[in-house]
Amino acid sequence: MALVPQPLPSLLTERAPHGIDPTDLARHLGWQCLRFTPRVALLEEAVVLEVRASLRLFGGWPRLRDQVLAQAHALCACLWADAPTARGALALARAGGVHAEQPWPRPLDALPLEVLSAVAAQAHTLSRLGCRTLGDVRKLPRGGLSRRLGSAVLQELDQTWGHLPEALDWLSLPPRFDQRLTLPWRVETAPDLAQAAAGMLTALCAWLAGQQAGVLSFVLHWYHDAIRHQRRQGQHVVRLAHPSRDPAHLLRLLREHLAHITLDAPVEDLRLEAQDIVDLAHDDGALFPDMGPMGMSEPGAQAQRQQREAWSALLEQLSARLGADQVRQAQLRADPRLECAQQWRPAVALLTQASSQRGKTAVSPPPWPWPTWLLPEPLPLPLVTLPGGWQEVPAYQGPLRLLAGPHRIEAGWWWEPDGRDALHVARDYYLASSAQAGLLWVFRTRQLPTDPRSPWYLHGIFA
Amino acid sequence: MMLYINTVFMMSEAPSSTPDTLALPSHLAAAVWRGQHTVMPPSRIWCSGHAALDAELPGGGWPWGSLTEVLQAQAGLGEWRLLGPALRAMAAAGGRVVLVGPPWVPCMPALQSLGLAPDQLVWVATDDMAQRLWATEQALKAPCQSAVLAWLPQARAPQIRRLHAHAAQHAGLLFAFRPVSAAAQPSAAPLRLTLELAEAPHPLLVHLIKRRGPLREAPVQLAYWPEGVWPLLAHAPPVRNLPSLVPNRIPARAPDVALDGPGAPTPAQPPDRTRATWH
Repeated sequence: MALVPQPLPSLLTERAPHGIDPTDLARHLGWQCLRFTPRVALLEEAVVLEVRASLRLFGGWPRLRDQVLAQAHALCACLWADAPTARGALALARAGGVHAEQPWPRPLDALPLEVLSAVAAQAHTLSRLGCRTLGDVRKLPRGGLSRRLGSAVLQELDQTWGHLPEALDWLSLPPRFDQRLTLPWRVETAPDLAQAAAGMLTALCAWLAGQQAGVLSFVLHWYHDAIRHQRRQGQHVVRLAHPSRDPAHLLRLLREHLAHITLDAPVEDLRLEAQDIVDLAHDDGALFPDMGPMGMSEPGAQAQRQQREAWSALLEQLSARLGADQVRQAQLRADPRLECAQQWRPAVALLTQASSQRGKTAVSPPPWPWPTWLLPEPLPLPLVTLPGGWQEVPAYQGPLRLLAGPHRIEAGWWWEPDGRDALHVARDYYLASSAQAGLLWVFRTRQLPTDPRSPWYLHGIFA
Repeated sequence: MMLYINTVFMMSEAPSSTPDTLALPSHLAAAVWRGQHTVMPPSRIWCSGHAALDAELPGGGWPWGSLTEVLQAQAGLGEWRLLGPALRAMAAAGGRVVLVGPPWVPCMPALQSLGLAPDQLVWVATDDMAQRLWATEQALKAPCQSAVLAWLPQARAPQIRRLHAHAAQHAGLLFAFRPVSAAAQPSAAPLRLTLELAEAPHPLLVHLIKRRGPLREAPVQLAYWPEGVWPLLAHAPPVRNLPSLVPNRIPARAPDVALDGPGAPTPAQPPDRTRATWH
């Protein structure tokens, strides 16, 4: 099987600063295809794959072909063809991807001279001999052909038809991903670096796909103009909670990270380095999609994994822009004090440790109702006298009516006064009702109140 | 917009006994919308868990992949009570809950008894309106099933329309919490409701101010007090200063009272920053 990558139209190449070299593009395509077979080679401008040994693993030729093509088209547009020999496939692909119904090697005879490079070099002479197609060349006497045009033409024809063995230089993945790119012009602002690095990220993802891995962290280094700035380089590490090899996701993350960075000086060169790599299975191997009767995702294993990946990607993206501390998830502890029963931690930090500690954090819900909203700090409530003139009740948007209580909580006195859990609580909680604000969770402190006039505080709201 | 409302007014006043005289073939009848009935929602619905409310919502539940506006005079008036059953079902189906800019700290142990696990809920804490809108949009774009609850007090109509457009691709529910004053402004949300508490024991009054169907003047009443409260009330010792003489309608602003002696006024209202009223 041969894949011939088509270079991007010139308009796009001019606009994009990361205009990819065609040989690089072919190499990235080859890296990707290493996922399907270990025998991948670069043959002239094309990528050739020996797929016969992989057919059974991937469920037959049509399925394998569709997977290879889907992956290749994600990277670039390409022509393709399949044939028993590498050069035969290359010739068919160059001719525009011929998939004739005729048995091999009949389709080759009708191809023009230009599709094989050794033949194309002699095309002028051959056309004067009356040859228009490869079939015409093969009808010429072999002795005379080799004497007049050299052995290269005959050798290539024989290799194409499979009469001579082909020697291919099989591609292998570099052990580390470390690419350097010289920018076509100097980039002044950090967000523009993300656009410039997009091509390298695509290459990184192709490299990852080849070894069925995902990246957990990568580093973008940039090098400043040597003359103008003392500090010659800078770098930024992007960490992911879950391994990924989706170029769009990596680019989005990098963009959010770079939005917070100010460059000291214009940048001339970029380097992208993959740091932590872990194995990541492909997700396109499922036989049946996990779709429920209404087209909604049912809790199938694959759908669940996709949801989980999408969820962690969302949390990473939100944390990258708003800051990790602003995107929070709760950790519960069995503690009667409302302040200490939950701890809001950065969601991204929890994601990475969640898989190992998920079992430990199971805390049963409290047996009595707790308010759904908590005030960040208990709010001191003033006392008001009721119309009768002899009763004083706490007020929050009007006098409160105490429905149930007291619910006494006294905890935390055994901690050191300056320790982490040092919150000595001695409170009587009451369930209170307010005409305006609904059901409230108020307490009367049994310690010295901050406001000497009233020991009452509002702590939560049953929304 | 105006045409739509007028049409609904006229149809709701029409006598309800007419349509049977106009017998249509079944395939045509399914395609004709009659003003007395609520419209079938375009895609699917998510059961709200309150039977009285489901009966009034078009299709019988919260609209899936669409924006629902919840208008409140102040935060903390029964929003968890309203959404709790739907969120519990969402969590049970493996979905997530995203809170964007909630007014106070969510109390996870209480939400746990609503059926939400700690790793299924995320709190995006940001005060900036633009960041809240951005975060809401990202949550809508993410291809995971989720309920997004966004507090957007200052959102303007174009921003709401944009959110509604994004919600169409979202697998889940989207609720925007806005002040009651927004009720006067037009909005792209196909379903808008206001939440209000009546007098004790505080039934939750849900006014459907906009829906795809006829207007409904009377509010839907839902229970507000959580189930766990009733046993507490039954077994509680008599509370010392349970005032029996509290007037039914308490003035919003209580009179200033001197507690320590003459001339020491006490603020009757808590400081404004913590009241979390809408501005």
